[in-house]
Amino acid sequence: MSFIGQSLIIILPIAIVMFFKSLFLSLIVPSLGILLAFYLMLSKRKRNENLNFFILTSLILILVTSTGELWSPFLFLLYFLSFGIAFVLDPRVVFVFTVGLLALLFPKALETDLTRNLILLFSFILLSPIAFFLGIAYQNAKRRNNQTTNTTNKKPNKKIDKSSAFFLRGIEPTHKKKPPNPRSKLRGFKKALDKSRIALHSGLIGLLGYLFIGLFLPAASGQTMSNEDYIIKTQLLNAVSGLTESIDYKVRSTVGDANPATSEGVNFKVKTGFENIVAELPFSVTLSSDFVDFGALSPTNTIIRTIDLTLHSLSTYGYSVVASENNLLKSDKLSIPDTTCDNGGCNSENVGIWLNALTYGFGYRCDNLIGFDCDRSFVHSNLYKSFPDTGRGQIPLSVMAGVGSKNKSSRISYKVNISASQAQGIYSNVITYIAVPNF
Amino acid sequence: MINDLRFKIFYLFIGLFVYLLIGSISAKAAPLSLSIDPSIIEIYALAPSTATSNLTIQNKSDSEVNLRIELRPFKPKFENGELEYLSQPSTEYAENLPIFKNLQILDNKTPIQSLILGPSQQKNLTLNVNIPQDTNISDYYFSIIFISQTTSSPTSNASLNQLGIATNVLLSVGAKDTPNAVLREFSTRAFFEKGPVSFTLKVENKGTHFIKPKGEILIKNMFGQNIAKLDILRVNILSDSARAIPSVSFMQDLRAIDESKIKADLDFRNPKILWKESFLLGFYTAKLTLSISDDSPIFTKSIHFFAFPFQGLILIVIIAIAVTIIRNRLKAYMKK
Repeated sequence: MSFIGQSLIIILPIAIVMFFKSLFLSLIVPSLGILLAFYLMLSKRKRNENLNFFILTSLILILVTSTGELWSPFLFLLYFLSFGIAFVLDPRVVFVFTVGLLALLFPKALETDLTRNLILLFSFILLSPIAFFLGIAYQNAKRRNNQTTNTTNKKPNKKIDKSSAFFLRGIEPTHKKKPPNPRSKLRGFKKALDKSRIALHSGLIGLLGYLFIGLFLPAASGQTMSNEDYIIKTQLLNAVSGLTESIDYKVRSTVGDANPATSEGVNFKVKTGFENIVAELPFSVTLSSDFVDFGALSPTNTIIRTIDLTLHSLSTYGYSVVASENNLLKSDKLSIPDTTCDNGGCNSENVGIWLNALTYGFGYRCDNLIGFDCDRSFVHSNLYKSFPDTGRGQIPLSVMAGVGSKNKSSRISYKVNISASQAQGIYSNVITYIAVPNF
Repeated sequence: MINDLRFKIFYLFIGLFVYLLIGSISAKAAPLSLSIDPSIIEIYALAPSTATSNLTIQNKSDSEVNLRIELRPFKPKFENGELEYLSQPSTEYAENLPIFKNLQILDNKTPIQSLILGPSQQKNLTLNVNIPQDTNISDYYFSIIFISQTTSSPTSNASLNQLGIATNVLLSVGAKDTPNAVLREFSTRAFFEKGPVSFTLKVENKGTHFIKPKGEILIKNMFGQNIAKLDILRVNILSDSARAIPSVSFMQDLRAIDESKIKADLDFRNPKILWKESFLLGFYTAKLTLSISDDSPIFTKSIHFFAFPFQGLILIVIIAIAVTIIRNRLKAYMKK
């Protein structure tokens, strides 16, 4: 078929897609197209090559158009199609295809991020000469291979048009002047190998082109708002939380950009819950035990006991758990001091390493079980600090803090070590944990 | 028969077993679990008035729990909404904050200061705020805390654990005046190689009432097209404090973060506004539009940044070199 005929095979699907674009916005047509593609792949019946190309081009264009055109995740198929056209049809048709693509995609490119879209369109222009030259090289190699294997060494099976020959000045094969040696099987094998190399290189270039463009494809997220004058892509949908209840009903709002639960009276207005982000369940906290028994204490015999602290259904803007002790570990008038760690520098605000068996006192550390919400100062094991002592006017301090939608859990380890001079007795104190939502 | 040695041994074992059983029961520690709803209550009131709000507390453990109710004033700790309690002992709260005298937690219209919840029991309470005519025009920020009480006295060296859960109340008394707030920071880096682009937005509230700004950031490319709109999360900024305001998407990403992948740009202590565009090229303008309250003037500020994908450029060069090499080899091969 002539160049014009082959061009029509490519132009026709582009024109159809351009004029009947609205039909392809529903996914029914692309779905039928995919089914047809499967049928064509599985069918053993031989069809005209040009008809095959018409169907393939139509299917790819419908798929790309129906899934967002320049934002389509299937845009890469167009790069492969360019190379396919150059390899199978007249290589010049690839330029026709590129022009058609630009005509199809350019109006949409003006509507959104122009910089990105122009780069995508430019990539088609960039790839078309590459596809063209590789197509010519491939077809020449194919023709030469046919000539080599043809022992009659008559006319070549295909001719390249005069206009194609214009582009081939530099790479026109010389076999017309110097016929190949028909006996050389080795050379034939080498040429076959070269042919597969060319195909491989072409594929690689296509793949690189796809990867290059694919690098810049943003993740599809959010919504698009538009009218005749603008299109704005936002990243997320807003939602609200809040509980509204009465005798007859109880509603937790989870939609839209409205207000949280609101009630009004004479001279006052009350809002509960947070805007924008859904909170499905009430904020909850669990402590694995209300009692930590150290047993009998003996000098330089370090005792470590643990409890688990778990947060469920975290507050929308995050939370913290503050902890404090009511006093030192006390027995009547005697007490075990809070630890100051091995270097004597740790307290309720700063951590310190506590490894030495001759370092005495009472302290704690926090280890993450689920999540990473323990105070970051406990980054290494053997780092401890003491609880703030409210009996001495200290304020409760955070042991855990974070944001999340999943449960968070940590293990609190209490450590006690007494000196030989510590009098025997029953020492105790009260540790208070308060889970506080952020405001 | 009772004097039979075999029965004596049997009774001895039974007695020992019962002793051990009782001993183990008394030493067994019980878990504590509480939940509260809502997490925050905002009250806007004019004197005189009586505002009420419902709250629900639940004991989620399998044992009874005795809860003490405390009111504690707080102040912002960082700029991300975390709080810290003021150091006054609870008994002095009422002296320091006279408004506390007018606050009550009601259980079926009866004021309570403690309550007992059975296993899995839930109780609906009412916060009652009576604001007399002479109340100072001011804001009051405090938590209502339900703290479990321990009554047992330890028989060995031990720490007794109490668990508390809080809901925060932002009480604003007085007519809404014109908000007094300043945009302390709206910034980003001057140059990016690729996205996402993070903006820092900090607003300081110098007024007497807490504010809840709303706004958006519109991003324009070098052709003047609006290419992105970033919604700002409506957060509470307390009086005389500053807060870093994140975008809605930042907060949702933070909540949805995969535990195995801690992303450096998602630090909850450092809220940001993120524009999650991976490919950037050229000159961009980000225009902030911020409204401090529904009826206050709108602030706008524009900042600019530039982006160029050096990585992409290197990739293009590599592809160009690869194509040239292949073409030259093909040429050489054809000439053979």
